[in-house]
Amino acid sequence: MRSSTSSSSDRIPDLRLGRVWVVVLGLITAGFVAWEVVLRATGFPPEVSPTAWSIARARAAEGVPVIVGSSRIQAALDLDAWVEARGGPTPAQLAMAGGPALPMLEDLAEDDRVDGFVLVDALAFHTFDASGNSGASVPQRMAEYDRFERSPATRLETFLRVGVSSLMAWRSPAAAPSAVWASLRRGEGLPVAPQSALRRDRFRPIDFVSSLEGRDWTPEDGFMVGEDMRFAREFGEAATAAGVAAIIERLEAAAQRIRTRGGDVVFLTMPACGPRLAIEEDRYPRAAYWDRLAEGVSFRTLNAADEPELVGFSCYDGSHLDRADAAVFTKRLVDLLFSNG
Amino acid sequence: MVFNSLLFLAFFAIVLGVHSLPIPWRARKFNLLVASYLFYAAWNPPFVLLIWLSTIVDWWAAKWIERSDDARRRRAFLILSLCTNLGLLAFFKYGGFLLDNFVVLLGSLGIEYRPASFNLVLPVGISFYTFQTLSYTIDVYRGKLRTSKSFLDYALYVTFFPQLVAGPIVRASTFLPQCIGEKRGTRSQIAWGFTLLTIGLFQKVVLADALLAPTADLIFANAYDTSFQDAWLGTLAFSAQIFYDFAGYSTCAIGAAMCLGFVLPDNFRFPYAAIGFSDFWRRWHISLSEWLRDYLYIPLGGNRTSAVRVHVNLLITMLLGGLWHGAAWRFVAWGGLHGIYLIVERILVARFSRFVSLESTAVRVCLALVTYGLVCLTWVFFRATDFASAWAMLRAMTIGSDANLIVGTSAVLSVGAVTLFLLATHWWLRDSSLEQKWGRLGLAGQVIVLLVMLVSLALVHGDQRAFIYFQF
Repeated sequence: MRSSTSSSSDRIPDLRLGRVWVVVLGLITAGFVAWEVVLRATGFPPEVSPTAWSIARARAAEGVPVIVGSSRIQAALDLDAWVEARGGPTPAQLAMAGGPALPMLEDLAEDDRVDGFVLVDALAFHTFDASGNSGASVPQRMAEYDRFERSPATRLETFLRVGVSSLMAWRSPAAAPSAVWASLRRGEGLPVAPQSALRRDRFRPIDFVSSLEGRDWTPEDGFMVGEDMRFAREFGEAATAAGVAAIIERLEAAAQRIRTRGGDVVFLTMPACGPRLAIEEDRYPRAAYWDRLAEGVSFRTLNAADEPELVGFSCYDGSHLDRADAAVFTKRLVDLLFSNG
Repeated sequence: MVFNSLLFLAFFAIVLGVHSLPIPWRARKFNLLVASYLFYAAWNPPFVLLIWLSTIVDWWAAKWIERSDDARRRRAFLILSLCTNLGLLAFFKYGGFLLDNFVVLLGSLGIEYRPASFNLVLPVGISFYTFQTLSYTIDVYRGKLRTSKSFLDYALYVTFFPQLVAGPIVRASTFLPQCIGEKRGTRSQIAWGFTLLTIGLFQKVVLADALLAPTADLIFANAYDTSFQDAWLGTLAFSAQIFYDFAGYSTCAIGAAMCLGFVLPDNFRFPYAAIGFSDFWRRWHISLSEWLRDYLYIPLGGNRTSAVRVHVNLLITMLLGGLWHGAAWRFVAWGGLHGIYLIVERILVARFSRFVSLESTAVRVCLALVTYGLVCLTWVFFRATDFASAWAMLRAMTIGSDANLIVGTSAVLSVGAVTLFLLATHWWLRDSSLEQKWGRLGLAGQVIVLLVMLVSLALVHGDQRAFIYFQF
């Protein structure tokens, strides 16, 4: 039988593939450079691969300040501003969209190398969600980190992927073929540049101001109305009183383990406003959730709503700060955390 | 380290760069050996020790076998090699399986036994490199092969990184002679090698992982609640996925080796265009089929014995071939089904071949489709997580079920299109070679095909999945 699929015969026919490869590589390079230029011109930033979480998690084991929680704290904390205000190393940003603090805090507590400062964004509707809707991507990120820790190849691969993705806008999920195809099918041309993109340090600045340009917008004009239903579904089922107590107990136990190693933990709830805040208050009343947490842990707690320095920022989607406010918010929070605490 | 990673691209660029330097041949082979150990250690460094153990034991066992005239001594050294390699396999791959079955056996005798848990990490590629070193010692024992004079060459044969973790299983008689003369990839080899790497990666990353795996995973994860259509779709998806995954790896391995000036044997020859099961096994995982034929089937008596004994030999070979794939009874069942297919085929061919003409294209196509369909059924045991879910899938595929559809139109379209593409290309290339067809594409055709594959590879967003055969 003749050689076929892989044709390993050492009498390779002269297919003149050299020039084929020259043409192909030339076209590929030109095509991707052009695509990159088009994307950058339409405002697409490079977006770091989600596997950057593993790198941040590994840094958490090096004694740097650690931030855990959800997208709110991820969008609000400009880590360059943190370093400017506080000095020292850049914090390890472990927060992620929809991320409940508890599994992340317990993961840090399990790791004996984590012995520094941990800031926990204990947003009620993620922390006390009993439906499991919150934090769907947490196990995936933790599994990736497990491989990152165990396998040198995975570690190197992660650094390479994060490095490449932080340079090239065409690797952004927003510019993926499926997104481009969907946009073209809707007759909208190229997709709209994403409102936010994950930076290498996992700060996710959100550009509300540009996306609202030309719109006569106020928080009360129903900006969030279309989102309300989706948002309400996200909430899932709130924990019962017994469930709340159990979660608080676990938060306390995890934080205590970090404290025994010389570390410190602060629980924080981020600002919210408008219709979204109303829904949150309705489903997760402060008295039944946040206040119980504040009473139930032996650690410092901060509710942004109670801190004059942390209120008054434009709250475009009711939930996240604009990138223009992140640096100021971060500096004020750092002052609050380390000057008064 | 896997081929479908940026790390491999960087690693291969460095290895190829050093291999192309004007340095002595011995130094270049040493570069390849060190690179091969790094390639393996990148996954789990301590398991390099197992490769060293297998390498050293077989190196000395083969030397002693060759030097000795005493049949008993020769046999003793062969047994040493067999025990070392099969012992490694038995311990790391089959330890848990044997223990579980021992507990069940004792339980059936009314004896309750609760052993400590046996959670060992399976060293990647152990089934491949142990079979490779075993073949060396056995060939020396049989007098078919002279031992290598260079430990460096022999160690490189065992460890050569392109095929170390998932084959093809290379024979020493194929590889060692290539280490003697100075080798460097010619321009044609490098260009074709990179073309094969691109084809292999396209098969793995785009076809297997992006287009097929999500559907196969979803349906097999819901095996107990699957409709007739979904069950068939999942099985077809996995049948294509396993081919593109494994053939993709082999193609990458052959292409990478070729860039370095080495020639590895083919591992696949368009198996889904096979007419009958003997033909299938001459086209699917060829290096394993040939290994089992030469070191198991023929020693058992092969074809040169009574019909009943031939059937028993076939069944034993295929059952053990199934077990080689994984430490679970469902792999044994997969192998057993193939054994039964081969036996039935032998009986049918003996009785009816004079009534059927294979000259007719229609007959050939029909037989190829029947072969493909029956092979697809066996993949259910291979992919399912246990017997119960395999039965549930087979039940849904045969008598149907009233479960709701769980996959969307886009999945149906992508699996359907890839399956049609797979069958068409296999049939088109069945009696030909890839080079031949590639050469006929012309410059524009070759540029377009390579462009499509490279652009797809660059744009695919998804998880970086390991090759399925790494687990074996």
